[in-house]
Amino acid sequence: MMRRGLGSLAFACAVLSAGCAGVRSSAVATGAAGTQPRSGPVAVYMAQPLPAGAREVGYVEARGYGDHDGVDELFPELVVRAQELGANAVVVDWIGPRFDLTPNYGGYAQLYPCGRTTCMSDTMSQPTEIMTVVMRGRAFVLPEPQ
Amino acid sequence: MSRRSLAALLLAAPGLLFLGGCGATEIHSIMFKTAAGGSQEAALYIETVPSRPFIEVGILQAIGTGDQATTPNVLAALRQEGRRQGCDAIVLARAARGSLSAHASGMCVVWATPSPAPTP
Repeated sequence: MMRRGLGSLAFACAVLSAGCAGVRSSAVATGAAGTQPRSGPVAVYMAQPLPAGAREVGYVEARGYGDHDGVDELFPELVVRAQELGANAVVVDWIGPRFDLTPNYGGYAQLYPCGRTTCMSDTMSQPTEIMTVVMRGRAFVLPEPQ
Repeated sequence: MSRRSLAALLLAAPGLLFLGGCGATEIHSIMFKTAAGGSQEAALYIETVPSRPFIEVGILQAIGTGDQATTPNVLAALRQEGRRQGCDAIVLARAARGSLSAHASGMCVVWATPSPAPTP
């Protein structure tokens, strides 16, 4: 019974850590359907205008926190997502943090005598701030050079 | 040093260490091209771009925690990293601050044309 409980606990921890750790990303196709994923170089734009004839094919986003919130981890993920949409260029529209407060369950209960019975007081810890860095962009197909 | 002042120093040391070292600034960067900009301080353009032609060479990011979690600190760290990477300027720079951490990012650029010669 004890062994089974420990096994379930280990499984729950593994599932929880797999669902939260690392970089997460998403892509939404906005262009015409049927664009094939491609590999190869991806041009990057942030402050410069795109060349004429560029066609938008989707929206891409990568987000990470903890040890995985650096642009060196987020940007490659954004590029992979753009390539999945068949893009050969990505426009980075926004890089910034999102601050979320998460409840901290590290509180404790204290028992103390009150009259003829025992009372209990709960002390909850302050919520913890978690910073998630988000990188958003748009995926484009640039015209092939003539 | 008297025994009394030694005792006071020993008592104060953990507090001084706590005040002096409670925070860090992390730098991340991803470079697409090699920046061979000037050795001068990289100019910072907050949420804007210069009118002068430039080439985008990489993305820089600074994250401050603890007592380093301030907007001026992360912007200064971004600028310092810009200089180290050889950027002429950091454009579209942004900074934001929470209660425990601060974040800044921007695009490292080099000038597309050499700087004009100073007029006599």
